Amino acid sequence: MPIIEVNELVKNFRTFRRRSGLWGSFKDLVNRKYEIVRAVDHISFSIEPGEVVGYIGANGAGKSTTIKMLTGILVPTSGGIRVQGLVPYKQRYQHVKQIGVVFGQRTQLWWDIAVIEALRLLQKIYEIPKADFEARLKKFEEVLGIADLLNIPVRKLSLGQRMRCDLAASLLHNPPVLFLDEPTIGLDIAVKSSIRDFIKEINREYNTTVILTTHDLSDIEHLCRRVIMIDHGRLIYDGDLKSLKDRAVGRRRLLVDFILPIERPGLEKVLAEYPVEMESSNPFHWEFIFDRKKVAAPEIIGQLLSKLEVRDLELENPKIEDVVREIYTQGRQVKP
Amino acid sequence: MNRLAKYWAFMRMGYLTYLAYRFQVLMSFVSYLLIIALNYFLWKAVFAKHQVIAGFTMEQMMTYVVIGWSARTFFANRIDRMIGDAVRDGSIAMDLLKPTNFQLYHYFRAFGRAVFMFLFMTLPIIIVASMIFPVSLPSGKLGPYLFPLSVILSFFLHAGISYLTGLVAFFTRNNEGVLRFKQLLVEVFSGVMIPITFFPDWVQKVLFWLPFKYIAYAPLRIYLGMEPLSKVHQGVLLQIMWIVIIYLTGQIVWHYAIKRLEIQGG
Ligand SMILES: Nc1ncnc2c1ncn2[C@@H]1O[C@H](COP(=O)(O)OP(=O)(O)O)[C@@H](O)[C@H]1O
Ligand SMILES: [Mg+2]
Repeated sequence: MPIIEVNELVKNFRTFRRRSGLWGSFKDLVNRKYEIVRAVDHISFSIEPGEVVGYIGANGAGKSTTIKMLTGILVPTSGGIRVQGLVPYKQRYQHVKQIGVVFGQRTQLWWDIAVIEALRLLQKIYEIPKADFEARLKKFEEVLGIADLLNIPVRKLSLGQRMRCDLAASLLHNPPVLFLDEPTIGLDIAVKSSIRDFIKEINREYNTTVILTTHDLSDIEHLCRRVIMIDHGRLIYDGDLKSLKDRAVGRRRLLVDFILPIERPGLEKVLAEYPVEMESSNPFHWEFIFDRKKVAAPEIIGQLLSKLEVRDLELENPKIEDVVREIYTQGRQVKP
Repeated sequence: MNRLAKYWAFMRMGYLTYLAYRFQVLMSFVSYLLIIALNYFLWKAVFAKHQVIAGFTMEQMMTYVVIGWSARTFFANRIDRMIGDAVRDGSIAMDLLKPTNFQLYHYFRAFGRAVFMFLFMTLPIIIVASMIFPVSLPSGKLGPYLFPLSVILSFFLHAGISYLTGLVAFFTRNNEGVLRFKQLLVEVFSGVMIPITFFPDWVQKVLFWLPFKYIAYAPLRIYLGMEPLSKVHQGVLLQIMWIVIIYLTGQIVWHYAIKRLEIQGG
């Protein structure tokens, strides 16, 4: 039986549109203009106990909004959610007892107070038996390497240190379901990998169900067998990571800074023989997206260097945006 | 028992938060003494030609001022501001993810602050001020016992009012205006600035039906032994009644507020 069920979930936000100028702000006072933003658009999926699912999409795709509804702090516009048999926003109190949550940009620790105090508070809040609390804390200290951080006020921790402590905090009550919203955002590689190892270990040992949002594909590669991808609030892929990777693996992105500005027609002429897509934010900076199977990076680079003056260039692995585009061009594939 | 433990723990956290800032708090200690000194010179001028004004002697008035302003450090709270800020920056999400009663969480967290304030502000102010100005000990049979109880009730009454003010942020996103207005009402009508008996009769009649004067005026009258026993009991009962009414109102408003919330940011 699924532990999480989401059915035709929709969330609209009403945003206030400011008009410009003095007269505009006066009109705003009298008659507010609202605009509806649909952040989540008829999303359905279900997750079995023990799965680690990557919930991915570009910035603004609707990942956080979905997580907020799943955790019960945002009321859906329509559609159904059940997590461990509960409707999160209706049975918030019981629901939050049985989940762990980390928002990468926030903390559940107390800014001015030592980490350990916040953890002890959580022991009281979740009514965790003392022995369990001590045992888990000891384990987390080891795996996350936070023993030396516990007596430091949170405001003095680095982002990576804080995130490791936050992760420990979210799991003290041993929740069957763990929600992680961008847990690795802004972290360096070493911290990222220690967090990934920890999540893996928790999942293996306690069979914890994990939903992880990210816009970093490498998180997913390390952790998830299954991926749900959304774009503009809509579900565009739900399936195993492998077949998603097969589509995306060939995609690469070449970033180039030119000494002289250049427009699209000029570049199209230079690269006429190569199958690349290009995009740019300004005429000095262009990004080329291409399929490794069809064209090799050195060929493109060589062509550019021979025809144009290049200040700098950088080769990147595919971004989520590239995978999204790939899925659109190849047609959607959504598990029924 | 376990359920209560968590609110006790919130109290502890509120206390610890302020402990981290004890030096900043000491700064405002000085400003409280200044306010009391200002009041002293003001009342001295006013009492120059009179023995008794609005039922107060000079010594009673100074006692009222010193005990009133020092008690204010205890029953003041920042609940409204904290809720407003949390709604604006979206950190309210982290509060909602905890299995707690949001209202009691705020009451007890603020009470931890109040305990801190009692030790580091209220008591020092009373001690220092009573060395400089004429301040009398609690009078009457019940003053010494009922006054502390009554001030603790003041705290929970004021906490309730602040909590409701804080919830406004759920509906308007910005509760700054309401917050200022509430602050004004409390400063003026709680009786901290001047005793209620200085207001015109009709104002006093209106105030009888509002919760404000039970924050400061009522407990201070108990301290001064200015009320007959029956009225002392009535005052304390009215405090309790208002605490209950405001608590229940908070619970009902919460029910609607939570549905209106649109949490900002990732
Ligand atoms: N409280 C809000 N009010 C208005 N619009 C919002 C609010 N929260 C999110 N949005 C909008 O909803 C969309 C999805 O946001 P979000 O779920 O945060 O995306 P993600 O987490 O995938 O980056 C964005 O267009 C965002 O601007
Ligand atoms: Mg997000």
